[in-house]
Amino acid sequence: MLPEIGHDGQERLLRSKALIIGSGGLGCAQAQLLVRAGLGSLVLVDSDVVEIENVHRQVLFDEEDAKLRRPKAEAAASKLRRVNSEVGIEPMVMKVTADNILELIEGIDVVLDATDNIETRYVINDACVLRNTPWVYGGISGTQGLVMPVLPQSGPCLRCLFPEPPPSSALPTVDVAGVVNTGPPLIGSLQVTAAFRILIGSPADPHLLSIDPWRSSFRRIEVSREPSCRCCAQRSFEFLPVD
Amino acid sequence: MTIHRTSNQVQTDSMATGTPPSDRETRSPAADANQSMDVRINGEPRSIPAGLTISDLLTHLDVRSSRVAVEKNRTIVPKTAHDKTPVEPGDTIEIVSFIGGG
Repeated sequence: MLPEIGHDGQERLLRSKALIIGSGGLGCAQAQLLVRAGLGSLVLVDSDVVEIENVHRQVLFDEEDAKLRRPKAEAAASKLRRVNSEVGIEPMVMKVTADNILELIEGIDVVLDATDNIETRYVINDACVLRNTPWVYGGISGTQGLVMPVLPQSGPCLRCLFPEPPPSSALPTVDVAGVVNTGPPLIGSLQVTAAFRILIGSPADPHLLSIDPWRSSFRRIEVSREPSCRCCAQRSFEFLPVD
Repeated sequence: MTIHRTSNQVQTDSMATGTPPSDRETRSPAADANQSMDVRINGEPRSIPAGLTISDLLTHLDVRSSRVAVEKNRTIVPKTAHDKTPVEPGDTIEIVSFIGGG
C-alpha cells in the first residue's frame, strides 16, 4: 500500500463522499480515478447528453452513448459501476445553480469542480466557503490549465485570486477554443490527487498550479488569503441567493 | 500607444509625456520615465519603465487587476499589495488569467 495514503487513509477514503460537478472532460477523469481508488460514494451532476464531439476527451463515453444521446451523468454512472461495484454512485441529471448548490453539498466531504463555465465556479466557491466544505478548482482551455485546492478554514478561496468573474464572452469555451485531449485527464488527475489529500486529512499547503502540457510547463505558485476578499474575508456571498 | 525607442530605452506616451511630472510623482514616487528595466512577463523578456508598482504595470499593460492574479517570482502578490509592491529589475512576473473550461 502507498505509504502516503496508508491503511488509515484507505479507510478514510472508504468512508468519504465526493461530489463532482460536471461530467465532461474533467469529470470523467476524476470520477474513474476516485472510483478505482475505493471511494465510499460519489455524486455526479450534469444536465447534458453525450455528443460525438465529446468522445475524444471524455474518457467514460463511447460512440453508442453519443448515438443514444444518453445523459452524461447516467452514462458515466453505468460505466463506473462496472469499474467498482462497491462504490455508491448517484447520478443526477440537472443543472447546478445558486438555488440548489447548498443542498447538493450537504454531507459532502469534498467537491470537485468539473464545470465548463465561469459562473458556476463562483457559485461553488461561495457555497463551499459558507459551509466550510473543501473544493478543488480546475479549469482547462486550449493547452492551458489551472488547479487550486480551496480549504475554506485555512487557505485562500477562488475570489482571493480572481475577485471578479470575467464576462463569459471574455473566455473561450472548450467548444470554441478546442482543447488538447491530454489536458482534461491531466488536470482532473491533479484535482483528484488534491482531493485524496483532503480526504485523508493531509491536505497540501495552499497553492495554484499553472500547467501547459503542450509546452511541458508546470508551475506551482504560492498563494495566500487576500485580507480584503469579499467572499472568505468579508463573508459576502454575492453568488448565492439572498436568503 | 506609440512606443519611442532609443538605445536601451522603451517609453510609452503616457509615461514619457502624457502625465505631468507632479502627478507621476504622486502616483509612484520611484517612477523615473527616463529609465527602463528588463523583466520577464509571462515567460517573455520585456523592457518596461523603471519604478512601476504591480498596479502601474497592469495599467501599463491595460489589464484589469480584479480579473487576474499576479505572481512575482513564484508567489502571488495579494491584491491589496499591488500598489505597494515594486517591479524590480530581473523580476519574473506572471499574469494568470482565470480558466473557465472543463
